[in-house]
Amino acid sequence: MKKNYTRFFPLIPLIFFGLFYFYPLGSILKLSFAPEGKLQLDAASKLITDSYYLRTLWFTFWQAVVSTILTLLLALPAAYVFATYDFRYKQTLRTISTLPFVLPTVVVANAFSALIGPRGLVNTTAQQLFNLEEPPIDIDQTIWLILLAHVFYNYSVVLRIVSAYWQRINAELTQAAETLGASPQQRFWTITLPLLRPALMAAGVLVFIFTFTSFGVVLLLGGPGFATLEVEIYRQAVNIFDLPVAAALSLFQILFTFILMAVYTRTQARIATQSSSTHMVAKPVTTWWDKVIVWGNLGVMFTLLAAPLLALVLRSISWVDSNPFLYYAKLFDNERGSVFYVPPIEAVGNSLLYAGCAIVIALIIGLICAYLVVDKNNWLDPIFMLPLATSAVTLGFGYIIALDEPPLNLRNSFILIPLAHALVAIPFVIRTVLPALRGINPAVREAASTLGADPTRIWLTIDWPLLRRVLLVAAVFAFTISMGEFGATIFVARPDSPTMPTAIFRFLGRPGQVNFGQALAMSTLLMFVCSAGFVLIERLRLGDKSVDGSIDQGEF
Amino acid sequence: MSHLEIQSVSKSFGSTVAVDTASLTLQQGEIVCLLGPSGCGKTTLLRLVAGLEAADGGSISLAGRNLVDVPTYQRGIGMMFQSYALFPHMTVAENIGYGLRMAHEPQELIGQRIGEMLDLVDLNGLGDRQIDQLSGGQQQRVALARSLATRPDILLLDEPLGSLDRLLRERLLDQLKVILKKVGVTALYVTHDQSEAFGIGDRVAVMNRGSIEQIAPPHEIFTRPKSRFVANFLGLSNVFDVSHPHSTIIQQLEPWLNDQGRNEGAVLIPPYAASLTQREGLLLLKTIVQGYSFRGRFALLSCQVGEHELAFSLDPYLEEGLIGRDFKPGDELELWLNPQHFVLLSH
Amino acid sequence: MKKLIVLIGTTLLIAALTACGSGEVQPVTLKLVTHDSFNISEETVAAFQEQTGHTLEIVPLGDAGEMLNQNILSKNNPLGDVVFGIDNSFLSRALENDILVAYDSPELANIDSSLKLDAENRALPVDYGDVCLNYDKAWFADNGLAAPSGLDDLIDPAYAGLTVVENPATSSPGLAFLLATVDAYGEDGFLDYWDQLAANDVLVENGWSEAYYEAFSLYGGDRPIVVSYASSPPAEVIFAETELTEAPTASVISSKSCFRQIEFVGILSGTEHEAAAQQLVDFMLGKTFQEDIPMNMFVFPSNSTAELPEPFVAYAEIPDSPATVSPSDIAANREAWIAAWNETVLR
Repeated sequence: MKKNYTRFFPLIPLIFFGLFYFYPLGSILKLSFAPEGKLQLDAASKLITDSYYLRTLWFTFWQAVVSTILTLLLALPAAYVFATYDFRYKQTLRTISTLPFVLPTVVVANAFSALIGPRGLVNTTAQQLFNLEEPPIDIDQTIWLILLAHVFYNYSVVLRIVSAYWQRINAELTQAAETLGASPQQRFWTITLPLLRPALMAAGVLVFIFTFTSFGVVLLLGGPGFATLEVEIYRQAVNIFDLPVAAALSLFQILFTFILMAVYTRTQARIATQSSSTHMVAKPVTTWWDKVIVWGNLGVMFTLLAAPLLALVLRSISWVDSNPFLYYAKLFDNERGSVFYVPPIEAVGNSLLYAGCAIVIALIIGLICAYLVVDKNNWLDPIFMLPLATSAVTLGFGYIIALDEPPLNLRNSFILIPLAHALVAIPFVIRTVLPALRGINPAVREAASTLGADPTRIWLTIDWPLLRRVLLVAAVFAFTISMGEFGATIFVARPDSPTMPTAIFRFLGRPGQVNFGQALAMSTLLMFVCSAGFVLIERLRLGDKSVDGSIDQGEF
Repeated sequence: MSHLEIQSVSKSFGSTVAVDTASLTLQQGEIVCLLGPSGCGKTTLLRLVAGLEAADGGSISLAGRNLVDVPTYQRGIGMMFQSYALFPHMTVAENIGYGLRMAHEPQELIGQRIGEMLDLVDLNGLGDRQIDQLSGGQQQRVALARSLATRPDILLLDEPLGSLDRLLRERLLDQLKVILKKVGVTALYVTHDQSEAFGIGDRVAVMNRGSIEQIAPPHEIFTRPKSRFVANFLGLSNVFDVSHPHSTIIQQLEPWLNDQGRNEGAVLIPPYAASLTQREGLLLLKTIVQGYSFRGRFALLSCQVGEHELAFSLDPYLEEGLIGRDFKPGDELELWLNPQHFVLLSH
Repeated sequence: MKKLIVLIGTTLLIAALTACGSGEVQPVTLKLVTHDSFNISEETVAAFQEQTGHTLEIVPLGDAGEMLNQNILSKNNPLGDVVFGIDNSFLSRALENDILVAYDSPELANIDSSLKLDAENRALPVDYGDVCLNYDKAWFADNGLAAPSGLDDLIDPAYAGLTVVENPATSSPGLAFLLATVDAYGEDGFLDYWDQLAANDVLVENGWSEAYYEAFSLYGGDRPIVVSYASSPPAEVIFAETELTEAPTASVISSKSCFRQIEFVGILSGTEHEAAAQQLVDFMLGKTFQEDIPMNMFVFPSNSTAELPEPFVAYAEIPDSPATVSPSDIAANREAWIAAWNETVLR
C-alpha cells in the first residue's frame, strides 16, 4: 500500500476537472437543452439553418486563421533574434512582450485609441507634419484593428515558444546544410523551418484557440459590425437570455476545438523528439547584418507592443494638475467614503493572493495531468485543453447552477476565483511540462530503481531537476492568466475583495476625468506588478543556479 | 601546386587564441589528420577551411581558388560532423541527395547518384529509412555518403568516429579508409585519437596551442617526434633534460651524449629501445624494478633510475627467458638500450 | 472503496483550497445581490447595521444583464436575500421568471407613481436616471456650431459625423437611447430616423466606456456628441482633474430625447430571512440611503423627500418629459427592434 500511493494521484485532476469543469458545464447544457428533462434540439437545428450563425462561424474561423498566420509571421523573426543573439536587456524585452497578456481589453482598446485613433498621437502628429486634412490611419472599427490587437496579445506566445525551441535545434544541422551548398534561403526553407514545425504548430494552435474564442477584442475594438462565436454566445446568454442557442453555440465551439486539438496532439506524437547536445550558443551582435536584423526586430516589437503600453503610461499621468501623479494619489484616497473603495495596496494584495493560489493549484494539477498524458493516453491531452475553448459565460452560469449545494456551495466563495484561474492555466502548464517530461529517458528511472531508490526519491532525484525549470515557465503563465483575470472569473462573485482588474472596470464604468485617470493609473500599476512578478518568478530558479538568462524551455 | 593551401591562418575568440599562424598544405588525394588534445585548435582550423568560422588573418586556397571571401555553401567542400548532423526530417536517400538538390541537379541524376552512394557505403535498400531507424554505424555511413555525394574538392571530417564505441570504431576506420581511397578524395581529418590518426592519415599533423607542431607520415611522427610536446602526446614519456648533469640517468648516458656533442635540449628514450640482453652498440642502464606486467603481445616494465621513473615495453617473444620470469619491486636490473632509437629533442 | 477515495480526495482538495481563501466566516447576514455599478458609502451601510442589527454583505455579480440572469438561474437556491438594480428594460424578464416576492413597503408612499411599474410591488423603484445625449461644450463653441437641442438635430447634415451611440444589443444606455427614439418617432417611424442617422455618419460602439472614453471628443475622440446620462455633467465636475466652476459637458433634455431608466429593488423568492429583507428594502427606499445614492451611483433617488446633493442641484438637469416605453412592450419587442435596428444601422 505504502509504495503505491502514487496510483491515487490521477484522481486529483480527474476530480478537479470533474467538479469544476464537466459538472458545471454538463449542468448548464442539461438545463439549456432539456429544461424539463426532455431533450429539445430546436436551438441546434436553428444554428444550421440560420445563415446568420453560419456567417458568424465563418467570420470566427477566418479571422482566427488570419490572426494566427499574422502573429506567426511577425513574431518568427523576433524568435530568431531571441534564439540567436545575445544582447542587452534581452530579459527585460521578453518580459515586456508578455505584458499585453495581462491587460484588460478595455484598457488596451484605450491605449490603441490614444495611439492610432482618429485623434490619436500618430494621426495628429502625421497631420501636423504633412499638413493632412484627414487622419492617415483610419482603422477604427475595422478588421485591421482586430487583427492588430490579436497580434498584440499573442505575439509573446509565439515568441516564447518558438525562440525556446529554436535555441535547442542542433546548430550543426544548418552548418551541415551549409557545407552541402545550401544558400541561407535554402537552409531556412529546407532545414530550419521544417525543424521548427513542432514549435510553430504548438504556438499556432494556441494562438488559434485564443483568437477563435476572442471576445473582448472583437466586442470592444471591432465594434458592432463584427461578432465571433464567443461574442454571440455572450449576447444570447446575457442580452437575449436564450440559453438553448447559447449552449448549442458553446457546445459547437468546444467540439470544434476538441477535434482541432485531437488532430494536433496526434501529429505531435508522430514527430520524433530530437534531442541534441550541441545547442545553439547565443552570439553577440557584431556585423552590420546582425545589427540590422536585431534592431529591425526590436523596432517592430517596440511599435507593436511597447508603444501602446507607453501610450497608456503617458495617459495615466496628469498633464494639467500640478501633481503629475494626481491619479495615482487619488487611488489612495476614498473621498466618497465608498463601501467599495479598495486601497491599491489591497487590490494588489488580493490579485497576488489569488495568483499565488492559482499558481499552486495549476502547477500541482497540471503536472499530474502531464504525467497522465505521457504515461497513459494522448486522448486525455485534448480534453485537458478544453477549458481554454469554453465560453466564459457558459461556464460561469454553470457554476451558478451546479455549485450551489453544500459541501460544494462555492458560488460566493473566494475559492472559486483561483480555481477558475487555475482551470485556464492548467492547459498552459501541461503544454509547457510535456516536452520536458517526454525527454526523460525511462531507463534512467529504471536504473535509479535498481539502485534501490523508492518512487519519491526517484522523482526527487531524476524528474525534479529536469522539471523545475519548465515549472517556472508554467508558473509565469499561470501568474499572467490569474493577474489578467482570464475566463469565467468575471462571472464569479467576489464579495469585498476586488482585484486590480475589477478595480479598473469599476473606474471605467463611470464618467469623469479622475475616474478615467485612475483606471489608467491602476492599469499602469498592474503592468508594474506583473513585471515585478515575472522577474521574481524567473529569479527563483528553484535552487537551480547553473542556468543562464533564459529559462523558457517549454515548447508547448 | 598543392590542392589545399593554408597559410599563416589565425583565429581568436575574444582573448583566446584558437589558431595561431597555422600553415598546412595537402596534395590531391591525400588524407591528412589533424591530431591533438582537446582545445588545441584542430576543430577550429577545420571550421576555418569549411568557412564556418572567419579567419582573422592568413589565407586558404582550395584547388587554386582563394577562399577568403567565399561563403561556406559556395566552397565546394564536404563535411562530416561528430554528431553526423543528419537531417531528422528526411529519409536516408533525401539526406544523401540534399546537396545535389541544393545545386539544382536534374532529378534523374540525383536518383542515380544516391544509388551509387548507397552502394559505396553498403547501405543498399535502406534509402527510404528514417534516420532514427538506423544504428550508429549506419548513420555514420549515411553522413559519409551525404558529404561525398556532391563530389567535393575536399572532405572535412570532424571526429567522425568519436561517438562510437571502441570496437565499432576500429572496424569502421578501415572501411572509411577503403572508401576514401576508392573515391580518391582529398581529406582533412580531425581526431584526438592517435591510433585513428595513424590508421587513416597519409600524413599526420600534430597541433599544439593553435599551431602545427609537426607534420609527417605516421611512422616518422612516432619514431622521430620533433618536440617534447609531440612525444608526450604520443605517450612517449621517457624524456630527460640533457642540461641536468647531476641527474643519474644523464650521468649514465653521458658518454653517448658527448659523442653526439649535445649539452642542451632533451633526450627521448622510446619504450621499445630496451632489451635484457647485451649486444654490440647497446648502452647499459642500471635500474631498480618498480613493476612488471605481462600483457600478451608485450610486457610492461617500469623502473627507477635515480629520481626518474621510466617505462619500457619488452618483447617477450624475442627476449630469451622472459616468459615466465618474475620481477620483484626493488630488484636491481640491468637494461641494454639501443641508442639508434633515441631522439634528441631541441626543446 | 472507490467512493471512499473519491470522498477523501474531494475533502482534501477542498480543505487545501479553503486554506487558500483567507478564512471566510459566515455570520448571520443579509446578502444584497447587485450589479458592478452599485456603490454606497460606508456610513450608510453602518447606519443600516446599527439600526437593524443585521450584517450586510454586498455581492456584485457582473453587469445588470449578467446579474439578473444569474438570479434567474439560481432561483431555486438564491444567491442572496435582496436584489438591487433590475432596470425597466429587464423588468419583465425578472417578473416572468418569478424571482421576486411582493412587498408593500411603507416608503412607497414617498415615491412618484410614474416610477412604479409593477402593480404587485414585487419590484420597487429605488432610483432613476435619464439616458440623454451629452455634448462637449468647448467643441461646439470652438467650431461655431449650435449645440444640439433635440433628436432631430442629429440628422441635420451640419451635424454629420459628430455623434457616437452605443449598440443596443450589448449596452444598456444604447438600448435606452433606442427606446427613446421608438417613443419619439413611433414604432413605424424610428427606423427611418436611424436610417438618416446612419446616413449622417453616426458611430456605434459596443459599450458605454468605449463610446465615452474613446470616441467622445472630451477624451480625445472625434465625436462631440455622445449618448450618456443626465448625471454625467455633474460627474465631470465632481471628478474633474482641476476644480471647475462649470461642467465641460451638458445634456440635451428636450421632450422625449431622453429615456428614463428606473432601477428596482426586490426580495428574492426563497430567502430565509424575509422579515430582515423587508427591513433592508425599507432602508434602501428610506431617506438615508436615498440621499446617499446620487454621489455614489450618479442617478437620482426615487424617494421624493430625499434632498439632492449640491453638485446635482447646480449641474444636473432633469428632463421634464422623458420618453417612456412600458416594460411589457420592451419585453415583447426588444429583440425585434434590435434586429431591425441592426439591419438599418449596421447592415
